[in-house]
Amino acid sequence: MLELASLKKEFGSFTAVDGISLRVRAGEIYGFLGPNGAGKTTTIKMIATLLKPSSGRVMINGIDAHRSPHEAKQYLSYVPDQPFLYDKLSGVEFLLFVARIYKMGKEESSQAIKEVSETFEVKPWLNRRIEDYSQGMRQRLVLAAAMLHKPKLIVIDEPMVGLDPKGAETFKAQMKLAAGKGAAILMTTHQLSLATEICTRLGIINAGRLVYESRIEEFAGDGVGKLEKKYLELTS
Amino acid sequence: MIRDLVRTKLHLLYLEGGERVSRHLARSVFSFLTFAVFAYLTYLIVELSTRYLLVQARIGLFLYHRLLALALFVFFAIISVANILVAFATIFRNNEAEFLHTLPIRSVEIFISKFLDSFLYSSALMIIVILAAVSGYAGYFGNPLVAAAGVLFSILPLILSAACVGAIVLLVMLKVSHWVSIKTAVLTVTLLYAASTYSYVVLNNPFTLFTNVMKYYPHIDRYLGVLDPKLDYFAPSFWSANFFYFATTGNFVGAAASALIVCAVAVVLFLVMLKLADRYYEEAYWTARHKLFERKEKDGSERLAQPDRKPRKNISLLKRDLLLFLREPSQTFHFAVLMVLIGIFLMNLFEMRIYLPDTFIVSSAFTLIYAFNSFLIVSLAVRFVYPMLSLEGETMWLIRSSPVSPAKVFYSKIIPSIVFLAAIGAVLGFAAPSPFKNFRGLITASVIYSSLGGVVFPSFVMMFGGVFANYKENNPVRISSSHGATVSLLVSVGVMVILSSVVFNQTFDYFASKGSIPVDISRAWILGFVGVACFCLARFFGVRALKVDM
Repeated sequence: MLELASLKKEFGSFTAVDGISLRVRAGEIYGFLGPNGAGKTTTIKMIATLLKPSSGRVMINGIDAHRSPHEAKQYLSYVPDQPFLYDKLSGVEFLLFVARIYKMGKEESSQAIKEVSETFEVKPWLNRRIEDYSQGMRQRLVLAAAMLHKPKLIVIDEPMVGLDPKGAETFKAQMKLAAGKGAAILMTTHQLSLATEICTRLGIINAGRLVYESRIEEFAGDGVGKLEKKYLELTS
Repeated sequence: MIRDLVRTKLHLLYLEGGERVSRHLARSVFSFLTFAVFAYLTYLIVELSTRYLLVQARIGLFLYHRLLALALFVFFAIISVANILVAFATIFRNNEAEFLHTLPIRSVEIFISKFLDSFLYSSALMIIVILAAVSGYAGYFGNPLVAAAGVLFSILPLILSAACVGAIVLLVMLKVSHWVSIKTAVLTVTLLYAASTYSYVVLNNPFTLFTNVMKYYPHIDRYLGVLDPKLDYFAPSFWSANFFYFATTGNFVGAAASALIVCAVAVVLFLVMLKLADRYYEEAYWTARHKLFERKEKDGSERLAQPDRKPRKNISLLKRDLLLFLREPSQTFHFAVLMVLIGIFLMNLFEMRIYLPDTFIVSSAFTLIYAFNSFLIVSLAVRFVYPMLSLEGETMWLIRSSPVSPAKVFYSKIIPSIVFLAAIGAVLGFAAPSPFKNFRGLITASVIYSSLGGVVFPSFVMMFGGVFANYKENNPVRISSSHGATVSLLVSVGVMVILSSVVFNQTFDYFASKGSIPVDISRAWILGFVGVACFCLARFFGVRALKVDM
């Protein structure tokens, strides 16, 4: 579903992402790990077509995301680390706006809004202005909007910011459910426990390079401890 | 898709507008009154100056409309430059644009939505000014229908053309920055704008035109098109002014033809802009983001980031603001452009000679120069001082949770602004009398009045910056083009008019006596008092804004 081929991003003499190649297949949850400033967000912004690679390609469902961004984005849902929301709209108005952009019909969007708002427990807040939402509630709304059109590829930058334990549980369950239904998910996180809990594959990026990739089974047993050891070994 | 985007934007506009009125009733009423008073003053000024030019100075309808063409050309240039700056902030460097780019929306549709956003944002004041000015024109000639048709078929298409030119230039600039550095592209565009404005003004020098038109006296109301430089035909503002000339003189075929040209130019420019946006916007967006993300190797401001031996709160606040200013390209670029313009203006002042016999005209000329000096200070204040409090923005938690008093934060912003603008005022005040005979006797008064302007205006503007503080917007260009900034500009212009009339009053006798009666500066304390009062008001509203619940 997602393929990065020798992806590179240079800013003057600084190389933020240095020839990353990876694949995320349908049904996989890929944990994209790395220290601060390693190039995770730059990579994700290239996938979301917010930055153009200096070289290399981003393929979404077989479509070159920078040659045909409009077509590629039909399959994509992107949740940034600091998402933008229209503060003056209510939750339901925001979800309706997103539904219209994905050309969802009246019935389809009503049904989808009902589903995601119940799943992410934002229903009681839907008619209130977004400016009244807490940070956790905003994050829930963003995740609900991301799941609204049943995307084939979900790219999430730091998903757990502001989520309470219940919200975090819902998020994990939903990611597993979406992957189970065939979505490919790429997620950055600093929480190694989250990575071992829901990811099926992991990649570690350091100084712009993908320095490690493995299946989650490698960390069976003492998952977090092993992963933490490996992570520190590769990034320090 | 574009329908959904526009529908959401209109809905937001309705919600925000409605909320602004209901939640901040006093502010809304004050804003409305400011706009209304400003519009009425513009109406009066245009009506009275038209009456003066046609009845007393008897320059004739043709020359009057050529002056109108010149004014419209300046409006055209200002709107197009303003649109370049605001369009960059709105179309390329904006959280909403980033969000929309992650959705399956065609880039040209995002462009249209953001272009309209930027157009309404940057041109609202101009539209109000022009509507009031056209009403003043109609008030004199007594032809409201011509004014209404002029607004619809001449002025609005002209404003749209200017905005399209701005957006086209921006797209082209970002496109060529693939091959040349962005600095070279910006410099080239700046030089092109300066050269074309300069050529236009030189070609249409009002004094030369006046001499040429007067050769045809008394037939100076006739259409003397033979006197028009051929290059003028390429300026939409020329046809816009022609519409008014023909409509007022009853030549409706000529008026229709002129309106058709203005409208056709607007449509063509809009289509060209769409075509370019369709082809290059996505690419230009990536280029803009690349440039914004690009880390600078060295920008010369590192020295400010060194630790201090004896750390002091006010110095550290000052250094932080200076660093943020120096590292924000839109701030430094705009600042450099305004400084260059002030430099050119100063050079012109030193070279200019206004040796006229009529005391009224000489006093008016000096007052106009003083008013323009004040306007430069007001512009600097609105552009750079107004956004200062809002720019504390979402990082205000840091200041609020630190042992720093809001008053100290306020002083760290206002005092350097006042010192800098008062210094600029002093330099401008020193240069202002140089075009006149017996100028030496004017220098002291001119420096005092201009420097006091450098105290009054930043304080005044800072006060509005506190009243209308918006901590969610972190783009200085958008903050300084916001509704509150517009109100602060209008009120400052009102104060500027009052100060200018004081200056006129104080210098009239000096010019009448050919320099033998010295300028009475004993009343400058009134201005000083106004400055102190403005400073106190600014402190009250500024500190209150820094204490607001977050």
